[in-house]
Amino acid sequence: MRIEWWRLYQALSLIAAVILSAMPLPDLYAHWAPQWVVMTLIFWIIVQPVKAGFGMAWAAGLLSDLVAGTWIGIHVFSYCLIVFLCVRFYRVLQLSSALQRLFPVGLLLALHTGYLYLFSIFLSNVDPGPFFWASLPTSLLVWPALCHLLGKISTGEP
Amino acid sequence: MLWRKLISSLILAIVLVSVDYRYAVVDRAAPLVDLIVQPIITTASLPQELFEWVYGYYRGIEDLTEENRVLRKQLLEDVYWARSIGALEAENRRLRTLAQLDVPAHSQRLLVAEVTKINTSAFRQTITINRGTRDGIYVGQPVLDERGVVGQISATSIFQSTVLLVTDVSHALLVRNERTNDRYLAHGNGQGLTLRYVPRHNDLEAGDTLLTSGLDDTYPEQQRVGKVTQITAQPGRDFLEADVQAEAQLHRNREVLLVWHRKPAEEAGDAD
Repeated sequence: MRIEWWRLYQALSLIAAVILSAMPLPDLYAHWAPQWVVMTLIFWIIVQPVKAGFGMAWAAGLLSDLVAGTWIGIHVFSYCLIVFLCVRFYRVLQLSSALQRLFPVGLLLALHTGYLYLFSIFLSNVDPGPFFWASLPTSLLVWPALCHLLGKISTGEP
Repeated sequence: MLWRKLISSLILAIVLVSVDYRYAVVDRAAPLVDLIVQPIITTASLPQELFEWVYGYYRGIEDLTEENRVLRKQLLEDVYWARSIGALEAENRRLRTLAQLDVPAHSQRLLVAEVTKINTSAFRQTITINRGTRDGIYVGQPVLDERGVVGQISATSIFQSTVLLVTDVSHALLVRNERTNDRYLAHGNGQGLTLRYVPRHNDLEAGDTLLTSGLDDTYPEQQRVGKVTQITAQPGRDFLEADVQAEAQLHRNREVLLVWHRKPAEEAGDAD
């Protein structure tokens, strides 16, 4: 039986993404931190649209919930939704060029941000302010580099 | 198939959220959760710690000498004030005994703890300190710094504890206006504090200092909580709302002060 090395890379990259998003930043830059976990999820769906799926979303979601200290299940909900949309429309993501791909990826990131925004307003009674959306541009800037890096790692199979 | 997976996942997630919201499952399993979360948080703060180490290394000796000089001066002044407070307290005790009032008993046990982690997302504002049940820390213990109230202990394990900051959305405390003695309830709002139910025509002004009231069982009396920054009137609402900036350096502290405020008998009764 062939060992599926990409599963290992997938797990490691998701853990790395959670660690990166847990990195403490000065208040001024905190909102600008890219959404590492969502981008990593999208990347793995593009690479393995059939095999990668809800298991990955659950693992990443539970870990994010524990690290962020939110009620458990909050991130899971959003990640499952994003993974579903990616799997359902993976051809759009796969076939479009890197530049065109920015658009659907941006939409998915905006979906996640909007979800957290609503959650923050209605369940925590905190208005995070317009800078809550600042992670979108930085995420889109980082996205091609992240794809390149993860692509290098995932195709350089031993 | 895909739809079914999605629907079941979403329903399960909602069930999880409601169960955790209602029964605080994660908070109860804190020691277990710490096992998973601590390594991640520790790894994530490595770059920051490295930066601070390098910065501290190259910080000039003049800076340290200057800081030392300022601290010495501060210490001298503080010792003077501490002495006069001792005399005042003795006098107060004598007068209260003469007037047949209760002599306020407050414990003097203090402990300085080091801040190890800072977590300030919009959802939850906590810091972690390097003291735990081994040092006698209990849940609900007040935490202060040299400027004012930081928060209270929300979870303890053997070697470390979590401090819920006064700015956390799930935190509220009873405060007193230093100038007018009016009392308000101060809720955390993620960035500072809010007084939500200030009656109209109440004598509250921007710049007023708020102190702890001493009426809750948690915080000692007369500690600074924050300053009122602005007061807003929402049209159609019966109450004014006031924003308060916390006095303590919540996100920049390296050390905090733990106070044993409640009497041991009360602590034992509260051990639920």
